[in-house]
Amino acid sequence: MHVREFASAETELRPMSRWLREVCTSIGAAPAVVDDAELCANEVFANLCAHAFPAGGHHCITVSLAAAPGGVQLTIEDDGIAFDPTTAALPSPPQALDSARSGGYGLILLRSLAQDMRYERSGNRNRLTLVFVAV
Amino acid sequence: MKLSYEDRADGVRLIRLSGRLDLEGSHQIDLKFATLTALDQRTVVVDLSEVDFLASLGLASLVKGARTLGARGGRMLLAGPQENVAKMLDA
Repeated sequence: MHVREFASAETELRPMSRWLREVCTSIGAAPAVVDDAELCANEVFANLCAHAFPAGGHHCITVSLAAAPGGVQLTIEDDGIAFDPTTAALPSPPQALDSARSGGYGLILLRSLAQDMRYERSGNRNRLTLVFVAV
Repeated sequence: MKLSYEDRADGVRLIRLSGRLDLEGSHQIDLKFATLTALDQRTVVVDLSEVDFLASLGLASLVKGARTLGARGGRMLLAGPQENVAKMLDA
């Protein structure tokens, strides 16, 4: 298990991505798995920074990576407000680029790209676990 | 994130993006991209062949430009996405 803590700041998105790609590659994940894990981690992390801490303050987001059969397991933990992405409503898919919404696609990406997604809240902490497997 | 553009003789505006279209990349190009897509009845082709990462916030920038164009009688086409970017768009 590889674990790193990041500040809940948009400036941490790229360092987090770089670390994630290095770790996933080092544990032998296929390129497509690395891409999917990076994209989903970015979506979750960016949304946490934007929405999870309405009162502001200094918070940490913990990202964990482990090898899983055929891929990787990504776990993201935070102490922000409760939000369960496994049950949140999805936006309607757009018919064309110019009729699309300009936001809300993170959930669609998580549910499309992850083979498994689990959420739990324990005390004041959220834990989201995603599994990505090579197809 | 880098942005360049050219106006072709057939009236099409070709916008080339290069780099990561994530939150930071969107911030870098949003204003310029919005300005370049505020056109009446024109076609804008966005060349994504050198975009190696597209997050939903980056897609939001593209969608905003497409909606502006559409509202003014034009259209936006996305061209040449890399495999991972195409997968994100298809999702």
